Amino acid sequence: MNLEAAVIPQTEDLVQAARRLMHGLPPSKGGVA
Amino acid sequence: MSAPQAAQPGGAGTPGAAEPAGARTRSYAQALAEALREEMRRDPAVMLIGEDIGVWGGGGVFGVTRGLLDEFGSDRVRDTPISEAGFTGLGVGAALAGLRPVVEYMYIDFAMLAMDQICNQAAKIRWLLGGDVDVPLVIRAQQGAGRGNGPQHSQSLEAWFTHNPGLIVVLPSSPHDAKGLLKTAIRSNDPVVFLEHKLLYSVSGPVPEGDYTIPFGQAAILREGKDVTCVGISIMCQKALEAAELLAAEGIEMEVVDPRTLVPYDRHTVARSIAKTGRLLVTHQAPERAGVGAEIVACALEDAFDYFDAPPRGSAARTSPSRTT
Repeated sequence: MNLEAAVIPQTEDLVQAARRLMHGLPPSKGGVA
Repeated sequence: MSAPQAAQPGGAGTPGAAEPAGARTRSYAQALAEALREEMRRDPAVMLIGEDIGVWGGGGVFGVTRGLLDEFGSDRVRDTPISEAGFTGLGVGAALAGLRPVVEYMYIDFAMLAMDQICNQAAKIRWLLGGDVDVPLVIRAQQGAGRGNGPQHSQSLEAWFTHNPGLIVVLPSSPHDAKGLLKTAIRSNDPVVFLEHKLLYSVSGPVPEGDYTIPFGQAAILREGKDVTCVGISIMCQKALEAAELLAAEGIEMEVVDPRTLVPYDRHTVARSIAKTGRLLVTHQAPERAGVGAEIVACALEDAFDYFDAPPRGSAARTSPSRTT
């Protein structure tokens, strides 16, 4: 398991964040939003 | 980030050099090396200071200064002992004496050893003397995680320098910008903290041949979109472009904005983008808590509150030391 990658934002985090902005999904709880 | 340079005596010197036609493919590291070499040829006052930048043949940890000692000699390419506070002070003194030193740290994490010289001396001398002196100092270093270098060699410290009045803060995200912004930094009459990302050195892209500069405080729109504005810092611009490509496949058009410089900060370009998209995502590799993302969101709310269709979001590192397996 790559622990370093787990704490920094990845491309998929941006994709999910943009989807939430578009579709109004609630923020995730804790960690990388 | 309310345009602090505008109130600074002297301001950032950004004499422009128009971008020449024609570009070749160069890596981020090669683009930086070109900028240093061309500026040293153009202006004999430009000199380099740092650990293992000269005699050791590698030219610094990432090879950016390779070959410069042979061309310019040891008066202008100064290897130093392992003493960041000492050789940063050397750089401040050289700048006050009329030279244009470029100080290099192997890792930005080591800037902590020199924070008095950076924040108490370089950043404040012009203000202490009523604007009567120039401090044309550039501090270059690479930062960031993703290479398994451990928690003491992987931090992203742009928020530290952005918070401190008197410093210009630059984070190029492409080879093109690395060369143009470094040239502007070297010609600036105020101290510049120039933050490179260690994972970008091998990234290649078009770089114009010859002289050009990029003005500070002028954001770049890397990809246009109508649905979401994503402001990325440094390497996160590359991640944002990847994400935009994936989102396009599902019909979401994400605009990617690179501020390029955090001081001065181009809040107007970001606000104009939000006026179009109504949504803001900010991303950086530094920890989320008190990161520059919070300041970018604050500026956006002041400037474009009426245009928001959803609460702004951030995507940053967890507030934790970087971990290495």
